[in-house]
Amino acid sequence: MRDVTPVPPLALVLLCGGHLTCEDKIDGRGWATLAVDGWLRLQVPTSAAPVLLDARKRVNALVQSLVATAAAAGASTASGSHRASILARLGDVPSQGSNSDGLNGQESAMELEAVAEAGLLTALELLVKLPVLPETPFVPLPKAKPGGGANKNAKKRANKKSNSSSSSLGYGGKGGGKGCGYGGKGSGGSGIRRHHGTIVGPDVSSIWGGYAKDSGHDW
Amino acid sequence: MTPYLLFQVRRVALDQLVLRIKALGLQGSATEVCNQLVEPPDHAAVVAAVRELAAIGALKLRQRPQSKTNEVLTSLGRALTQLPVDARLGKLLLLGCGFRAIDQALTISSALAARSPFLSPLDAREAADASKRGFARDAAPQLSTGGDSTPRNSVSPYGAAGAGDGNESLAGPTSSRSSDYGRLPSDLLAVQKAYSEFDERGNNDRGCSFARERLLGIKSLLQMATLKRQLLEALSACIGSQTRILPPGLKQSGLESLGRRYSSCDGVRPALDQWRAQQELDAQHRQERKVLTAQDWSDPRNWPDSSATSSSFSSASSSSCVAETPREASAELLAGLVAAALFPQVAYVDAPPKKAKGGAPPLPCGPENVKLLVRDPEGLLLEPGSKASVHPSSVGAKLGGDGWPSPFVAFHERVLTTKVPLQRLLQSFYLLYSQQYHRNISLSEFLFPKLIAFITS
Repeated sequence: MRDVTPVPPLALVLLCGGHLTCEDKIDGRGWATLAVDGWLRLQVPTSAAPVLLDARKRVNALVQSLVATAAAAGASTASGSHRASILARLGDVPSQGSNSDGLNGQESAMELEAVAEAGLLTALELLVKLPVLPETPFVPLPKAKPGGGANKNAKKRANKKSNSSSSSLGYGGKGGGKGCGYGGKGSGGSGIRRHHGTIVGPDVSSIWGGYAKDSGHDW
Repeated sequence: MTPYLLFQVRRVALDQLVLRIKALGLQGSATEVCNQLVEPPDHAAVVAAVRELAAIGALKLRQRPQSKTNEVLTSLGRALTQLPVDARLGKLLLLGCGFRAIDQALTISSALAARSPFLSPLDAREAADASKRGFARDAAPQLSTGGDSTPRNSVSPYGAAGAGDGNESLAGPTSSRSSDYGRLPSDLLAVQKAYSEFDERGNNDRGCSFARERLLGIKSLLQMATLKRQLLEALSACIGSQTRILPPGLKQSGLESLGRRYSSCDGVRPALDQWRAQQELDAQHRQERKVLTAQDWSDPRNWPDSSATSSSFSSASSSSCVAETPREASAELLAGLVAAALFPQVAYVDAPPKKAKGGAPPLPCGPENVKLLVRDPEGLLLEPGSKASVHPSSVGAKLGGDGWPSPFVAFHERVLTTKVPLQRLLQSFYLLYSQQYHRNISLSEFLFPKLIAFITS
């Protein structure tokens, strides 16, 4: 594998995929599940989930506005007249300088400016703050298998780990000795766990959601 | 070996072809249109291209009756047809525009579209690797904490390396490794840093000596510069006319002359800096006008001084390239943009620890055992579709389990290779075929068929 880039987990939540959804909460311990495109699941504190969802909405609005402007600009420029005639055949590109969202170019540009400021600042702030949020673990959650065999085993292993006296460390968690692996509090049996700064082998079957959904992009 | 070269439509990725088909509004699905070609491509390749475009949001798939799928071009798809690059790289450019990381996004896109500028000569491979690691470290240096100016090497910014472990983790091999790689050991950030440093020196003796010293390919860097200019021209035509993000009507020739004037290799940075300075000045001017409308316009002494304004503009635009520090996106944001463009090409770092004897804590996983788990392309399986290894030329190839700052990595390319060590292979090769090799037979004619035969045997 070439050209590899480590990705901050928060960047996955804020920027990647088509949509971000909040799934059911986990066992009442204050953790919520965010799913990117329905298959990449991350665990966040319940209080952080709405903030992240709101930030994601802003980022989506920024990108959507920019993309709509770019698509409309390509169809309306003089050099793109041929493309405009081609695109007009598609039937879903409104003519006279308005984009697919019903905004004309000027409105879209103004909206873009406003959204760019808000979305950029929010995203940047959150991304930069990531290093100082050590209590926030992000973890892929187990996807319920038919029959749930793997998850049962994972749960058993998790309980075993959490009951043991080893000082397993959370993914940046403060709770050394609480058994909060990379999987966060109580869910340490699945996903990657870190012990003494080491990535511990994950339960492979629990990493992926296994959905074959459409990406859900609305832009 | 086939006696002739395969048709291009059967050799290359079909993303752009599918996008063009959809933009032209041809009847039927992409597969149906491709089947009408004289030499149709593989059905699986077309399906894969459609799936990838749907995954990045360029196409929307809708189920039609009789189990057929209707492929609709989205706004992103229409925008990507304006850009002469791969769909993912085009998406990276658009995201870079939205997050004020245009220059960096252009550099990364051109690096991925062209050859890598990092040289790896046989006699200086370790030095080349060290140079590349140095660029990665400089692109995202370790964070310092509080008033302490010394880097806090041992603690990963994402809490990976022993957070919560108190001061225990401050010592040991982990800290030295982290300091060697920076906080985000990324190939793409390393390329971006290498190019920007070369660009600061310009295409002159200074830049060339820097490239030779750091084992960078000058031709590749200049090729990247040309690509950057081309892409910026396309971007300017695409979104510069309706937004204030980019200057409209940029041309390659203008960028080139601007680069010569400001000792820049490609001229992109001076153009963007000038545009930014002009925008700031316009905003300031608008603010002044706004204030004046609230005051008494009858007094000419309150009117703005046009000469002062023009002089300040010229000084701002001319000095911005030299004196002002450019505002750049952080390494984390850049990594996020790269991941957003390449998504769902995201892998999961699997680094099982070594068991220690006597109840001791497990040892960190060695670099040779680190695997990257990749989702299966169709997303149907519960388990990862395949495991992959980091390429030996990658920055993170020698990182152990405790060296990865995040369990997620975005990747651009996955190549199927053999496990045969290349060095040994070549040595055997020279011994076996030294006579033929000295007869001035070209490598392409001689080496590759033998190489493939050797590997398969």
